[in-house]
Amino acid sequence: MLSRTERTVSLAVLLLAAVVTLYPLVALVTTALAPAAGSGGLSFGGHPSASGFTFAWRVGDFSRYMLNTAIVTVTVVVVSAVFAIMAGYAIALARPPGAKWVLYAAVFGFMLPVEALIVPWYYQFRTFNVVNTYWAMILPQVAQSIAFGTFWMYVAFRSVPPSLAESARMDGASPFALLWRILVPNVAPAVKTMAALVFLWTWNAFLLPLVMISNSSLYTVTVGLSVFEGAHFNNYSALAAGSVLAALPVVIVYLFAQRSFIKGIFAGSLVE
Amino acid sequence: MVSPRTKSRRRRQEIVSGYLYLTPAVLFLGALIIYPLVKAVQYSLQDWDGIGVARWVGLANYTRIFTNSVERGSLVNLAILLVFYSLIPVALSLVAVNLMRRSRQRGMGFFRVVYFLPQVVVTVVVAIVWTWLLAPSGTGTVNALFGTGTPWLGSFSWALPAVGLVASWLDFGLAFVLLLPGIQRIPPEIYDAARVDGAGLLREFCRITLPMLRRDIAAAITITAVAALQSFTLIYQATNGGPGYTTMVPGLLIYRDAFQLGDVGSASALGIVMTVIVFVITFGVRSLIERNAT
Repeated sequence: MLSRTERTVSLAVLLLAAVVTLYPLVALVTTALAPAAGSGGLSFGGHPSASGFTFAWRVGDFSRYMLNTAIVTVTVVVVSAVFAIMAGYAIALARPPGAKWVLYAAVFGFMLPVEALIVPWYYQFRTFNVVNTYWAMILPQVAQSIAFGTFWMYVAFRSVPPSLAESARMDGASPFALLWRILVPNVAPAVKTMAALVFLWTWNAFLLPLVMISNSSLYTVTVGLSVFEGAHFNNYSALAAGSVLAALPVVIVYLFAQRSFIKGIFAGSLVE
Repeated sequence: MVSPRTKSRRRRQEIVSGYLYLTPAVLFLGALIIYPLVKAVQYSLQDWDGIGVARWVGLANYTRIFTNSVERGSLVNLAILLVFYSLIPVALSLVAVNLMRRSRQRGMGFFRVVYFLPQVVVTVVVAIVWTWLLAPSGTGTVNALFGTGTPWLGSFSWALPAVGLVASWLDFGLAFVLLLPGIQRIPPEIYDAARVDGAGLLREFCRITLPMLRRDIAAAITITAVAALQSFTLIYQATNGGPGYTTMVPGLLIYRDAFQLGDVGSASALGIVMTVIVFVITFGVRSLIERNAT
């Protein structure tokens, strides 16, 4: 049996780690609730005020940045999920000759760092005049998400018992109905995880919109926040409020679907 | 019974629909992953400012990475950051999962949710709040807590470890979550038996935990190390590579070379080198583990 002391010490250490993890985030929220342009510096306690948020929302144009990010993120999540489900199904179950090569290409693509592709992406898009549009942010993000999703859905579909597809075919289900009505509901948790991760990656994307967008009305919230920081670095509460706004959607999704998020991070170890 | 004829007709239908379903993925992967990668290799062999005429220079851009002090320095910084992004979080989370296992701590769900939280906070936000916490002075800053007065991010000697500290804070939860299921898989009886034999904490750790978690540790090291290569956002926002070039990393150099200095060739060569590093880390750690296993 473990001694009481050891148990207490381990709990203390684990709690200390939790405090260190949470402290910066708590400091951010309390600073966001301080009066705008007040003290300068982190702020704790005092009367909560929404003025930081109003400043960020109106003057900082965060309403627009949030909308832009939402448009890009939702499009990427939906489009890449549909295409990845289709490809994952084709490789795992329909298995036309040569399909495995798409799987290899997807795994390879999933491993490529954005930094290696950003330069050719930019010049490709400049040629086709799509720099400074939503497309310039959406298309590369969809491609990378498909690379991950194809592999992820392939693994999910492979674990579906073959008898399920077989009996559906016996009942005369078309390939379309088979996939969307029978197989997809069966792998719903994998789809949820994929959507959660793509949501996180797209919302968090920084280098891509930074390079592709110079028109401030198209800024995503990450680039908008970075530019806002440059212009109002002394307005701690407005900056903190903008930061909270930028972070909140992903944190909310995480708190509701944390199991999905955590399952997804094992994708990297599956590749090996 | 289904006749063989219906069966082969079905198979044909399946193959056709299979190709149809693969088409969008193939188009996206081909046009936006494979083709750009080929283009990146092509750029990396050229001297091009992004506007004028490109000139073939062979491997000059690559040799410069290892001779130019800024570019070589960025790779050295990356190597140092690997310690902070990968080794430190993995070591700390090994301690944490062990404490959790030994004390059979309750509320594991709580710790998991909290430790992983930094991973889902937008990186620009992480950089901003840590810039404040690492400021030379002010309420609630690291300096105020420890009674010091170091301008962490502005100091030539402290900036890189300070950024590294933020990276460790970020990746601790990632490593923790990657190791937790592994340690839960180890049957408690093994530890009980070791304890009966009088194995101490350290022996227990080296004889049971470490070997049984080998694969999980390898996965955690790989995933966190690959995250270190994506340090662009954190560095750009926190220090922008400074002071001087003390926190310059390959990702930031690519951005600067290609989009501010008009040196597309150098940027592309560095991108290819980063790609190679990702593959070396992924397959290197794996083969190391496989070899030690036998």
